[in-house]
Amino acid sequence: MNLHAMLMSFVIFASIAILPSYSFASSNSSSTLSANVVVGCPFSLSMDLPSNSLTVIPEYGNYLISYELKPLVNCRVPGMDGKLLIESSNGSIAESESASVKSFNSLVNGTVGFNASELEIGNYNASLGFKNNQTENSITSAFTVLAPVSIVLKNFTVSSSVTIGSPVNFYIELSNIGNYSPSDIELFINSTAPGARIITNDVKNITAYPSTENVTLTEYGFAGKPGTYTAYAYAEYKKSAHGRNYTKSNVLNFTYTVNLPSHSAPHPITVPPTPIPKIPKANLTTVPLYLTSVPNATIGTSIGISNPSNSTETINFTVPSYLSNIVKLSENSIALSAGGTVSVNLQINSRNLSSGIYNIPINVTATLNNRTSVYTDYVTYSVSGKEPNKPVINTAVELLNNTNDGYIVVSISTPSNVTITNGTAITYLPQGLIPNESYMDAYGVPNNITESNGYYYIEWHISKLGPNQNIYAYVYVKRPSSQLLMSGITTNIFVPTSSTASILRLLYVDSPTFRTYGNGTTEVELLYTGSYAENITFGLTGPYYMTIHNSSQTVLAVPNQVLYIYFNQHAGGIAGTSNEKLYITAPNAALNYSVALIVMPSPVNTTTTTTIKPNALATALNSIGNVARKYFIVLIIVALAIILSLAYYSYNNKSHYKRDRIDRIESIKKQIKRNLDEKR
Amino acid sequence: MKSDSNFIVSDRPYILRISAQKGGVGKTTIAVNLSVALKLKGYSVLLVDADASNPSVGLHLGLENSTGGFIDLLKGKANLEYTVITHGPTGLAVICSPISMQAFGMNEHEVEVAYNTLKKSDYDIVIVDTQPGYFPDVITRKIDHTLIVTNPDMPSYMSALRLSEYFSSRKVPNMLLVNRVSNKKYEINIKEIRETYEGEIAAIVPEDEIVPVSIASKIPAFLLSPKNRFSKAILDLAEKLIEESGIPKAGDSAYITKTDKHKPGAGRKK
Repeated sequence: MNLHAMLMSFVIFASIAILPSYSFASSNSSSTLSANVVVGCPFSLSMDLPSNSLTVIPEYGNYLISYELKPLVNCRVPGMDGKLLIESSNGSIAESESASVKSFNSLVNGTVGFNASELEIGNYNASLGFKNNQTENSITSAFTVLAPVSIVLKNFTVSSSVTIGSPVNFYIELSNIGNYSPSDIELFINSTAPGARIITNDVKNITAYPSTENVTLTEYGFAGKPGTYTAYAYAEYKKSAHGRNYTKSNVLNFTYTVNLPSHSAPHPITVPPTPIPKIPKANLTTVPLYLTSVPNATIGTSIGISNPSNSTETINFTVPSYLSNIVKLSENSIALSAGGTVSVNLQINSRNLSSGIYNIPINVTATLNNRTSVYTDYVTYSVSGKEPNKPVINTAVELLNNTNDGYIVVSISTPSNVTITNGTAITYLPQGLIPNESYMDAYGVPNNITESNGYYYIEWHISKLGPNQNIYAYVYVKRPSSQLLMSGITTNIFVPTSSTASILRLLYVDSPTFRTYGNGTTEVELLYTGSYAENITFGLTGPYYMTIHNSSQTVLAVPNQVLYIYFNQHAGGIAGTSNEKLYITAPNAALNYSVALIVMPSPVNTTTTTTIKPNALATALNSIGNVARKYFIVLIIVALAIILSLAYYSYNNKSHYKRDRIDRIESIKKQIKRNLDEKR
Repeated sequence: MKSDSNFIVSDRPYILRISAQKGGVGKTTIAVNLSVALKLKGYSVLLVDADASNPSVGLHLGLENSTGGFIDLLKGKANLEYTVITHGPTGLAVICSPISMQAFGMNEHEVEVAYNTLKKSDYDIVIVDTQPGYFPDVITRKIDHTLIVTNPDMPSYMSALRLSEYFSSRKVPNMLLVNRVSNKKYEINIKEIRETYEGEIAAIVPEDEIVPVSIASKIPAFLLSPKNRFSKAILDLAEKLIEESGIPKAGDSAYITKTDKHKPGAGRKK
């Protein structure tokens, strides 16, 4: 044995004899182990699993294990190769990875990785060992591979009875079969229903296996039409708190039938209106339905929302980014206290919009205790062509308070170069909208309501409206029969001006020569040549001593109609000549006309007065009876004559069956057939 | 496709052509209001304005600003879905025609392709409003039924008789609608029409002031005043069409796909 060999034997012996042969450190919270073996230059070895965790998730992929080596005495450890073995509970090697360190005489560290995605769910040992020709050391740590979040949907059903327009209840069971609690789970439901949107519902508090959560969603807009629909449900979630991508669950479907209401609808027009949808934990009190505007104008409406719950909710309002230049919301986020209500103003600017009909989605999100409900309201926005230098009329239709009552806001604004004086605006409501006039209330501007030709006419009287001013008129419509007809509500304005428009052609004006204290009728004939049926207002004013019984008359005129208007007048005690003024106004047109007025003095009657002794009562009655009889007989004769004339006129004007005409038709038919045969 | 009495029973969609040889008899009024009536009864209805000379469906429905429409379909410039616009108040699907000074021409091939496209669509009913006069023979093979519109006067009734003979000679089922009947002295009596017309008279529609009012207000008369006599006649016509033509009840086929409708028992009753 040479000196070197003897020295080595001594060191080994001394190491075994002097130093503790082995040390071990481990705890439940740490996988750090250390081992010292006194062979050659002894060294310690320790390793840490990531984040001191004893559990890993396959989806993480590579796990890095850090390790430290340190000489136990003042010596230099030669370079070494190491190996990490991942050993399953049945003893088989699942993975084997290599590591190495260079020669060292103080603390060194390094990392070695294993691929967790290759491992099945279960318990494992990670063994890391280093050795050289003289020394070796190894360390083992146990860990568990857990299952990531896995959401499975089961038992998807829809409420058993669904009729048109009714809410649809969706029931679904969410189970987590993973060993982790998920984050950011969103449940999606869509349907083949026309117009149905994908609804999402956040489900965040589902815990690790074996937890299950039953979700019930009540949604509107999934039963707009009778028929068979299929609803689809699925969830999207992140597999772990660190996951970046969403994973989609299994997709379930359920077929349901939307039936007609059990009662037979009396008429197809009575399609039940779609109720205002409800957001869980928040109620919409006002929903914009229909807005009309002209280009380069701004119209406002509002969304009302209330919080019926007993805690504060956060309500967010958003519009898609591509509409951000057109739609402005007064609030984007509101903390709504328990029982509180709020109204968010919506300004829509039609600048850069061409005429047409637009659907504007407004997303309303209600958040309570980290649970969020989303509802999208669609506002139909109609932009029509603009006429220059005319007052601008905008009409907004809203639905109210979940009662489906309608609320119409008419705003009339003047541009900088227009003043309205004694103008009239008329709002037209289709008669089919409500059973009778008592179902509406018009206010805000003095008005009166008439009814004709399938419409209610609400006349708004505007005494004066200066440049750049606006006024608002309101109509509350109780239980409208159909939302469809709400869009048929329009408003026109009639502003008297001095310009003469060609669509009004005065054909004939005839005013009689009056006698003082006498009656007479002024006749007016007008040809209306406008393009649309419009209301024409006729007004006649005269000197103070003339009483005009129907000085203002409004009639609906269809294109190319001749209108006949009569003003009944009573002259006072002043004779002479003067003028009366005739005003005729139509939308965008008006004309004035002076009517010559001649009042002649009544002829002076020369009468002889004889004083008669007062008659007895019987004589008086007899006299009255004679007069009454005489007039009654005349009246009967006149009435009979009128009835007979009308009957004759009516009979004579009816179409009658004529044999000779039939012969003529048959003859022409033969010609047609002969002609066809010849062509063949 | 098979014949069922006077009516044709065919696969969906059921194509009804509104025809008249003479202009101004009320084809568009009937087409618009019949479409609205059928839509409100729950059917999926497409109204096509194929009147190249004087398109006016858009004027009736307030859609006069639409461009393209049927001419794009005809010329192959757009697919069906890009030519259809929805009438907001009713949800009725409409293909308009542009209002211009010049009528657009159409050749037989273009017409055949356009009608083939309509026939392949997923609507329950397609109503085609046409221009006055005759039309290429190719169309007769594509339509299920023709409604000839006339007025109770000699010139329009004579043209209706000619048109009826023309259709009958080509085995196209047709029926007559007498529009704007006010029973005036100068009119042909309805009894005379019943006696001389060999085909079926589908409806007698009275003259009604609501029609010009509705056109001016751009709201179909059927929607504007559903209870008046004009609307009643249109409703009767819609119900007659549904009952006798074999169009499935609303909802029966609302979402039958192209594949489904060829399955036994699906779609139209056989």
